[in-house]
Amino acid sequence: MKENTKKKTSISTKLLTIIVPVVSILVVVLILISFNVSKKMIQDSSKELLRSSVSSQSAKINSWLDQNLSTLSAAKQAIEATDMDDATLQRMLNGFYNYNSNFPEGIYIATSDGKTMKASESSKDFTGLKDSAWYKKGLSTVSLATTAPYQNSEGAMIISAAGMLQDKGTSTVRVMSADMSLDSVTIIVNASISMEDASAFLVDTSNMSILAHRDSALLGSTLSTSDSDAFLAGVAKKLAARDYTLDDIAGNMTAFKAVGSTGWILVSYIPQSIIFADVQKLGTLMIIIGIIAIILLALVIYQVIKYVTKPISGLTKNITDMSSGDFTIEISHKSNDEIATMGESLDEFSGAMRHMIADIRDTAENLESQADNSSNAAHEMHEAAKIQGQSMEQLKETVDQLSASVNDIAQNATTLANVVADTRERGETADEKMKQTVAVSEKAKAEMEQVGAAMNEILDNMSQLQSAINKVGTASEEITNIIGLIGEIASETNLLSLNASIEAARAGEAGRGFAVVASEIGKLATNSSDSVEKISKLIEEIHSLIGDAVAQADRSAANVNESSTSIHGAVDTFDEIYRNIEETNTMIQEVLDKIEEVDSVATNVAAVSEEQAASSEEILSTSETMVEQANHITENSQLVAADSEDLKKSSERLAEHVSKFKIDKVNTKEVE
Amino acid sequence: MKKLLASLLIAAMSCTLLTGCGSGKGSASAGGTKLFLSYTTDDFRQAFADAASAEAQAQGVTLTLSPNDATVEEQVASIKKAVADGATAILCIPANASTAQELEVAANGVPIIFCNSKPDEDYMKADKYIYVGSSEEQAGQFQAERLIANNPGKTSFDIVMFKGQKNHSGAVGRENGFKNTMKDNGIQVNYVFDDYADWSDTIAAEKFEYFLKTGQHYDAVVCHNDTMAVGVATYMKNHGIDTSAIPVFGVDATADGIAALEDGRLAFTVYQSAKGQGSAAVLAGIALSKGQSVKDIEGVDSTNTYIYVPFEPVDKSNAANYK
Repeated sequence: MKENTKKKTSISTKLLTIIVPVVSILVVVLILISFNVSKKMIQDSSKELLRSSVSSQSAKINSWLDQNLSTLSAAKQAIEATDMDDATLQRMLNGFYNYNSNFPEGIYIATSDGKTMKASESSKDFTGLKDSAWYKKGLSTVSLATTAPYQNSEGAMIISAAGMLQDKGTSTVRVMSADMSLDSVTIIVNASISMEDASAFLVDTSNMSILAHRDSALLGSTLSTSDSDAFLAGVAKKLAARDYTLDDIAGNMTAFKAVGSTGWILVSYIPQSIIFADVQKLGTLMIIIGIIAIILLALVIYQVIKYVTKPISGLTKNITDMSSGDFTIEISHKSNDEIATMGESLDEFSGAMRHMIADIRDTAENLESQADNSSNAAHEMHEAAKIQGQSMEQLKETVDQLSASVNDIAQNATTLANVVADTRERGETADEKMKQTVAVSEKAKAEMEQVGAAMNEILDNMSQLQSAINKVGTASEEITNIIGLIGEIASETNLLSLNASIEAARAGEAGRGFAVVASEIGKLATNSSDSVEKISKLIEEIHSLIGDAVAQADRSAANVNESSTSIHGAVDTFDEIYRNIEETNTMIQEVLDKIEEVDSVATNVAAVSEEQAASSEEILSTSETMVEQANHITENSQLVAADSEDLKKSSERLAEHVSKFKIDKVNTKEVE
Repeated sequence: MKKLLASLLIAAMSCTLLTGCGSGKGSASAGGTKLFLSYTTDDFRQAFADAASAEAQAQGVTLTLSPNDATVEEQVASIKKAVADGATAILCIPANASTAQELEVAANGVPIIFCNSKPDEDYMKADKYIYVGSSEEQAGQFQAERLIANNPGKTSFDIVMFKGQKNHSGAVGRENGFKNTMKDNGIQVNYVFDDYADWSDTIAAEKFEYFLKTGQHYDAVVCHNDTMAVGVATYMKNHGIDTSAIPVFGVDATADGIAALEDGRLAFTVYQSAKGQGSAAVLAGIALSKGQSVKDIEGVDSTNTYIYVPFEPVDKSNAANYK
């Protein structure tokens, strides 16, 4: 691949650029994880160590204090218990001088009246007794308690343990005290740290003064939150807030612990840098190991890849030859791995290619003549397609017309159906009207029959009237007869009166009265006959009137008879009309039924012709598509013609290219 | 590369899952909560136990009382027995708070709620070994605040202080609470007498007598419990010292303390709620039995280790409420 003339990346480079970064990243990740876990573990264990260190120191200081206090308390109790005289007491105080290295000056006592006692060798100075810290402390407690640290007359930092002696039966107060050097505390603070490289110092929180510190310059100084030293300022801040939790202050892991109930706080700290020094060492080591590992891995991988890909370079050369068209080569394959198989296969491939190219060459020649044929065929097809297209166009037009006709039919059928429906509606109206007419004529017939009956009644009445009138005629004739009789009686009476008058006249005076009556009767008779005459005349008149009435009644009867006959005729005529109307009605009904039939037929026709219209529509669109298809075919056959033209050219080119391959065994390089 | 990453991730997740399950095993099985209380009787502790029993009943859990564990040995034995009997959490008023570790070993992994007497924080563990009590600092703080409130404008005091037992958590806390509160309020305090009286009235009275001999001026007497306060106040009354001019302060609101408040010997005391502590201890016991955190219990601190039931200030005006 070194001889690879083209600027391409080799397989080994590719493999290296993938594998080496992946391996490197994995190594880096592993190192990071290990580093962080180690860091956390070291940090946690350091915290624990510092905590336990500060606790143990604090306990030591506390127990140192307790021990001293209990020693002194024993002495105090001894003094209280035995009512010693001054000499005995003095001996006892002398005995405590240098008895205990923590309070070398021993015990001393001061009374409220100013009397003092101390070991005879003691250098204790009682100047300013009442204002001294130890005396004041002693007055404020019975149990021994320690004062805040203070400087003694020699300038050393000390604390005093002091307390009132429990003296009964006296008003004077005795205070017992002993001075304790803070040296032991300082030793505990500075030298009793169980954690390597950690430091500690002791602070009295009542006034923030430093009681013990490795740096003796800081002894007795006061902690301030505005200290220029960031660490001391940080500690002061924590103490002021009474926050005694472990914290990181100015790069120092810092722990706090109260010392019993003294109000002292032991501060222990260790720079984080020391804690992490080991971690950093480990980190550096890991980085070095990592880098070496990466380099070694890269080298190994490179060598392996190189070894594996070596045979490929030979193959590459062969393939390069092949790519330039030389298939005359034969390939050697010595080893037995996949690459050897590749070589073998390539060799077989080369042989196969030789055959194939020869085949292709022949095929290309064939193809050229076929392409020629194909081109001709395509041209012919194009012509045929054109004709087909035109035919299709015609077909389409025909179908178009057909479609239009069918549409017309459909329209007409629809119109017919509408007309029939209309007619049916009207027929129904006529039927309705006819039914009304039948009803009206039925009513008229009935009324006519009533008129006939009334006429008959009139006839009856008329004949009754005639007979009544006839009876009147008969009665008046009888009256005439009676009147005649009355007339005769009157005439006879008149005659008789005349006779009487004559007789009376005969009688003379005696007959004078009678003559008057006779003349009166004569007069009456004459009057009666006049009346009879008049009555006769009246009856005569009545008679003739009745005769008129009868004649009149007869004429009326004749008239009524005539009317009755014509009314009966009318009734018969009505009956006939009615029958005719009914017949008409039945016929109309029949007509309606027929119309119904016509209607349904017309509707069917309309629906069918609409379907036909739709079908012909479809046929139309299909034939349009067919026309399009035919056009497409025409176009395509044109394309085919063009393509076969191209094909022909291509096969010519192919033949040209194939001719470039060397496959003649004459040129074979014998490799073996 | 991708496959490698995927398998690494799977391995990491499996680890998380496994450890997750591992830590979950500590929780109690789904049975009932069984609590156990080991203590010795005194007034306060009995009130505590009664309150705990009432709360347990209200919550429907079993609480077994063991009222005669006066020594560490007895406590260890009864706790071992309770654990063997299936207790899910131990409530314990330790006979000696410095033996916390021994009690924890005896409990064999069962959570302990220490009550009333506070063990060193080194032996406490969040949601496992916790403490229920009242903040001792608060008692001292209440005393200081009341003293300041009763003397408006006064910026310096001469104080006589009687403390409990040396190194006792109650004594240390109350002393710090008082002194720090005075300091924080800018009050200058001269402790003219400042001694331990071991919670005892006779020791307090005796030491007070010695103090009087020194003839120093004093403004108030502050005591760490009512017993000492009543001892001193009674002594004062018997010797013609006016306790209305020099007030005496106590802590605990004991029956004697309340009586002394009412007759004017005591000026002020602080009530430590036995009831509140008993109830809180049982609630904490139930939570820990179920493997839950105590974080939702009222008064718990940010570390889930201390549950502080507040003190209540008591003076003559409200003394009747605490009888």
